[in-house]
Amino acid sequence: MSPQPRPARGVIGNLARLLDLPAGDLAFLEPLPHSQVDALADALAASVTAEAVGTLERLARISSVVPSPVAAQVAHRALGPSVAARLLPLLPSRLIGDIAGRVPGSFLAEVASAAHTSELRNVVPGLTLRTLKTAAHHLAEAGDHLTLASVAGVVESHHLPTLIGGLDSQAVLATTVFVDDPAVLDDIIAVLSDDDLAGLVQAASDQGAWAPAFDLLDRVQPRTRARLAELVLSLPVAVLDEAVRAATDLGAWPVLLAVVPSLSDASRAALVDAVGSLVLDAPDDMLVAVVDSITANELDPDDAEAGLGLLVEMNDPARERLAALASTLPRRQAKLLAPVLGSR
Amino acid sequence: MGRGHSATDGGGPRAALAAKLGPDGADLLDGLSDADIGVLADAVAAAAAREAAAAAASFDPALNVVPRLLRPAVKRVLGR
Repeated sequence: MSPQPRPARGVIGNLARLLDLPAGDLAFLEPLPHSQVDALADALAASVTAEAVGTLERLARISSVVPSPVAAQVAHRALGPSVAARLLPLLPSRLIGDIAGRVPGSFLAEVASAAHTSELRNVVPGLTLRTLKTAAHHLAEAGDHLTLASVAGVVESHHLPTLIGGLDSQAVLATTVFVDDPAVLDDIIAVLSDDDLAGLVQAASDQGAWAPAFDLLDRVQPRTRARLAELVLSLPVAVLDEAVRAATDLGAWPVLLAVVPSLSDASRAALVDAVGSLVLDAPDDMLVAVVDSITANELDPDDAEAGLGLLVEMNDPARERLAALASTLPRRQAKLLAPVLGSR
Repeated sequence: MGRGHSATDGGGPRAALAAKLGPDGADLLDGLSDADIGVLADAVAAAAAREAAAAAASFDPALNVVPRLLRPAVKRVLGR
């Protein structure tokens, strides 16, 4: 969507939580490669825990001299979520699974929230589906999409339906914002039905949350993107018009244009209608933004061609308005639009 | 090693944090300004102190939760 690499929002958010900082205070990590941010976050998390390792090891040994129901009581009633999270790498995964099944779901969610990704990575795959479902429910209830994304990133892919299945469309969309790995995004979309995905887009529309929706569309694999685009274009005209306007506001036209070649005839026609409607009704500055987006120098040539192709297919009134605007545009842009406008 | 930094270069907050982060520490901090390093170093120190205090403060509550019969064994593993 933009020439800058997308920030690793999930990792940075988790690190900010561990360090008890607002995520904005770590904005300096956003331009760094994801692999560096991942490794740095892991190393910082280890450094935070290093001072307490001896104490934590002693606490972990309690589980070797008490039965697991008592260990669960100790974790829940004495340690609290943060210390319990630090113990995760020190306990056998089978015991963690047993304890997780004995503590309240709300506490489980708090431990997951306090855990760093490196701690979740060793634990989540060993949890039962029931435990996973309970944790997901409580995380969603608490609006903790950051942790849901962390868990989605470490859960085995065949367990994703359990994790995602209980979330509403709004929660799924909010969770995708913090999923840094595009492959995980594809896995998440794959477990959603067409109705679920339509609901997800409707949720974006209802909340004006088009930025995460375009971000999602931008990061999934082409096949997933085509599926999403077809669904978006099958939604009511009002939603579609809103999406095209939002793409203009957010500078997300490259994302929109990238889906054009894979569209069915019906979907393409729907998009042309939405673009035509925007061109006819938009204020001048928005129309200029649309033209700027489609004629931008840095646009992929195929995407630029797709954009101009949409404009060519617009109805006459829309093309008339574009022609009126073209006379005020710089020569380079007017020249690019000439084939669209014909003899106008 | 990126940009010629080394964990042992000339001391200072960058070298100190890099040393805490292990053998690749200097590489991991590559691209960050001294001000950025300061933010991370301060936050890590505060978080480490918080974590250590929380863990140490858990001994007594943990003992109190354990049934009396098991307390001697728990005291033993806690080194009390």
